Amino acid sequence: MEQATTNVQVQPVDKAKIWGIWKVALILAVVTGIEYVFAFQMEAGALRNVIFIGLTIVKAFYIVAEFMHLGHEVKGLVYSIILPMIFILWLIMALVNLEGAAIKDARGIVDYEGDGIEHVDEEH
Amino acid sequence: METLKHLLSLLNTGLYLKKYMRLSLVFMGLMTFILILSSVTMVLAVEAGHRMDKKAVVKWMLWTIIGGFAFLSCQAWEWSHFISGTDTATISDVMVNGIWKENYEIFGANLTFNQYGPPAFAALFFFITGFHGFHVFSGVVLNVIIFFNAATGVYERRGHYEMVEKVGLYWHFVDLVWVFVFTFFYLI
Repeated sequence: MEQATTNVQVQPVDKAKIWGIWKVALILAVVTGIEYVFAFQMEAGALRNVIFIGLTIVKAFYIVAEFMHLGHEVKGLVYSIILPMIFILWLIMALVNLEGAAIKDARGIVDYEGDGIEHVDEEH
Repeated sequence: METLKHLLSLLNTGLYLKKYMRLSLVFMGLMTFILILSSVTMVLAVEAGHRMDKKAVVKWMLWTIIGGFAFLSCQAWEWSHFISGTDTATISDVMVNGIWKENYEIFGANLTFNQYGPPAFAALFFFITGFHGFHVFSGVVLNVIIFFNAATGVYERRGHYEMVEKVGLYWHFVDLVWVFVFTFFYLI
């Protein structure tokens, strides 16, 4: 049987806490804005990819730490979630790299040319 | 790192938005922000639950559901544009049902053809955004259930709003996945 509560006390709003939540939203919006500046102003390339992935990790940090309140948990829990995830990420990247290369070779897939890559005729 | 580089350049070449629908990239930004905002309203619902404020929980859950539906509508719009393509076809030599055809007219994209770039990009795009969209949809369904339970006072009688928090974690995870999908499919 579920326990029934008869009288419920609504606690008052903590303004600072609410502002904290909206502040995280503001940070996420600003970081997305910065990504757009790079998307429109910078040529595609390895450096831009690194910038995008870095900014994405910043956004991911705020979502996980604040929204999913992992940042407010005890250190042991934080590490037991973050560390295995890093190893899994390593595994996925290694699998894509090794097994992906095998599939790419077996199927004879040619390289795609990125937007920022230009062909220079070396003989002239 | 050869294959990872290949994958990144595939994602870059497949950026049909940048070449053909630049406005659409801004639209995608709006869509991203809608999902982030619905995550924020979810946090506010959880916070209201901690205070046992039933009215506020119901209000913020409703906003979260609206945000989820808005995101799904945006995605439906985007998919329909990507699938139907532009007015003028792209002429390409392609394999159709096992038969090689030259100067074939391609409109839009699907799992086999892509008017805008490599077909592999379109296949990967539909696979990943499709699965994400399905997760958003199931998240919205869960949110609706929680919304009704909160509104009818189930959690008030129970004495805590822990279910709002649990479903909230699911919703934030969907948001987290989208942050990565957005980077790899739209920005890179």
